[in-house]
Amino acid sequence: MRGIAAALCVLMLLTAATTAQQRRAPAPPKLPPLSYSCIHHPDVLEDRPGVCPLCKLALVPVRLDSSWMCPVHTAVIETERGTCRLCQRQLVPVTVSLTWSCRGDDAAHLEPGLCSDGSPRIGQRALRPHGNHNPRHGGQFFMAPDNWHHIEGAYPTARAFRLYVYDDYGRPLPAAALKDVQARIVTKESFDPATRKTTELAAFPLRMSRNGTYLEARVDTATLPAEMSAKVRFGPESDEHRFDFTFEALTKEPAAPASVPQANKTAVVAAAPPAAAATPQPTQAPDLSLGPQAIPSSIPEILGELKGKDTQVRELIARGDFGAVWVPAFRAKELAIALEPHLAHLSGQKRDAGEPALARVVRGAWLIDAAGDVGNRQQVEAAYTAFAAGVADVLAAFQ
Amino acid sequence: MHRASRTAAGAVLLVVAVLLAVQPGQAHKPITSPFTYTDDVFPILRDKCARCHVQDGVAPMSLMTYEDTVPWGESIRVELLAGHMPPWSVDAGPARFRNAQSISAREMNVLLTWATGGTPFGDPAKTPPPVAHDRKWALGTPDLELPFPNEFTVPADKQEEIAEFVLPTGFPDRRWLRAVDLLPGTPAVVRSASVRIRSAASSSTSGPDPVLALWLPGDDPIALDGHAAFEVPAGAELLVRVRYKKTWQYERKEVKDRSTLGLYFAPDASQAVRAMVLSDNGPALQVAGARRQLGDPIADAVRALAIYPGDHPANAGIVLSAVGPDGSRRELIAFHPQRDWARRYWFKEPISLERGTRLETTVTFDDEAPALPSNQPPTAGSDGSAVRLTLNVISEK
Repeated sequence: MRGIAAALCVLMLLTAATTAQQRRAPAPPKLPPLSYSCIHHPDVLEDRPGVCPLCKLALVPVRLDSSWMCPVHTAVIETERGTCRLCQRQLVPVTVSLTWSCRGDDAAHLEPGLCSDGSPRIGQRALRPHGNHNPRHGGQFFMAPDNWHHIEGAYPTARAFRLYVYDDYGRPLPAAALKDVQARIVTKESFDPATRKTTELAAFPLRMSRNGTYLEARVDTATLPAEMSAKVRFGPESDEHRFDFTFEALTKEPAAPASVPQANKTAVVAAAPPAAAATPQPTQAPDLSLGPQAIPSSIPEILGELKGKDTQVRELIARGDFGAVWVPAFRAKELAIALEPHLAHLSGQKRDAGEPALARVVRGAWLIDAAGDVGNRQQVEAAYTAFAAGVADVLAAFQ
Repeated sequence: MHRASRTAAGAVLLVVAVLLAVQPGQAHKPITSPFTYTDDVFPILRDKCARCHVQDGVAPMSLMTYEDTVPWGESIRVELLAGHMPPWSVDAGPARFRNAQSISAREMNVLLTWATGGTPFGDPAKTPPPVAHDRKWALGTPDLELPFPNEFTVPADKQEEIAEFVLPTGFPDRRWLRAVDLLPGTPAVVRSASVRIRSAASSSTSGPDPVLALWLPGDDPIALDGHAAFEVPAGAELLVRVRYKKTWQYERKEVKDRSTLGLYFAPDASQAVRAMVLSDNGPALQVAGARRQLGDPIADAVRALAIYPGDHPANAGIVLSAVGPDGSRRELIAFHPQRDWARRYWFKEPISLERGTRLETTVTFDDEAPALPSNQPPTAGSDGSAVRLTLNVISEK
């Protein structure tokens, strides 16, 4: 019903926007209720005005609605569940904010109406960003490849695994929705490189907890570090997603609510980091610098640091710290980009090898970032393979 | 809701969604990218993508305005990371090939940062000027223009069609061609084309007709220099096989096309460009990374001008190396051929291959593929194993 109402709303808006002869405003559509959010911490969402508990700024009103979007072709937004008309992928649920504005005026209004020239305001649907990718229960937090669900794996006691599932705002799925999640935890498996098939040797179904807030299973792993993989379907029509966990210690519930915003990734590369960069670092962040750093002045220094960042990425992956791998990876790409002007000084053959290698480092860094977000070890390692090969070729070309 | 009605409503909503999603100044969307469309992104898109991603181009969307580009930010990110775009999949630097279409490390980072960082617009005073589809012959007016004999219609209920056209050359004598190009009548649907020479001589052989050209949108035709040229026998016909594909903008619409082939003559007595087919007839591909010999050692010294792929496993990385009689190894190309982008890769300089040289391939799989939603899982080729490449060569003088 909600989707149909949204469709009618959009169609009414279209009619209003395109019928130049009709200068009369359409009948007011039924609008979603107002919510209140922080401009710096979109995960903060209240149903009444107030201040952000994190930065104390006044919350601003937003009008949120649900739609179905293609995970790749984000222009494809439907009001009903289905497949993408361009690539046939399953549409994923997204949350959008609704605003209305007039041409030549950036002011965003929270309801339709008329502009000063009498024409109807134009409706806009903006996707809401993911604001909080930090664990709530001391576990490891990943975003699902569908770009909507988030999960957190916890290992609170030996042989016990918990899976918390969140929506795109990091809100826990209600028990009714959690019931649709099918998941198991795998502690042993084998991979045959010839057939490229994985065989599970020890798998344990995850079942709803008594209080209906997470899924849990008893596993056969009792030692630390504990490595295991959650294989999750978020619904009957969902693809199965894999999330790899490495627990070096038992996870502990934080003493206070752990709603600490994650440091802004782009801020690492941005010359002028936005306000979000000033927020505290995640509680589980590695001992790595997150601030803008100067590029070394000499090529040997750049290469030395590049080599070091490659090592850091490799070590983080080995530890299963996928949430942090992007930090040295992104620094490595900045170093690679800094080398690009120096290609002109290389001999033909070395330049021939070095130029695409620099692009591979950049692409590899972004791949590591994407794979780290979803916590899939196979993907992280595959991305690292591409990244490391690029780094090796860069070092060979410039040394 | 009735299916047709629902589809129509969906199409309307899609358009609406595009219209709504592209309004500048979106509320509550954090901007983290220091790169903007006007200052940083548009120049890259204009220089590297405008051949296809332009209004009426073959790509599903134009990227020549901010409003057109913003809704495709995530798609841009995925396509770049998957290595699908730009559709140039050679590992080596662009300097080794005449028709390279790569983007640099900085350009890739700008696009990815912008696509993931809120897609900011930039300075309105620097709004890019309109970019129109360039419908000209890239090499100038051809020596001979051969319009297709008939207009072809892609029906409303078909998304994709293959059509073949036979174009008589009417050459009373043998002619030499230095280049062949195609000018689409309706660029938005002409997705690729191959041009083969059909003559009495080629009909008498069991193999396929010689390939004269592989045409792709955005791929500039290469004119042979020196004395090398493609030989077209007297009275030969040109067999043009066109793949038509509609983008979503033409879904459920009838589209017509009548393209034109352009021929560029070379001086007489040119050296004939030959096709050296390299086939892998070994057992099914089981282990990635194994070296496999393609065909017999080269019988006569040649110079390789270009290479193009035929069959190959999906998601495969292929390295073709020449192993000289003395055991020296030289990489000719390392690439990841994409089925939809079968092109000829023209070497910047001809590569000499002496008599007795063996050609070997090494095939690996792109294991990062599962990290990206748009990739297919690695699979063997349609016949389970085949790697088939063709070298265009001329005899060594």
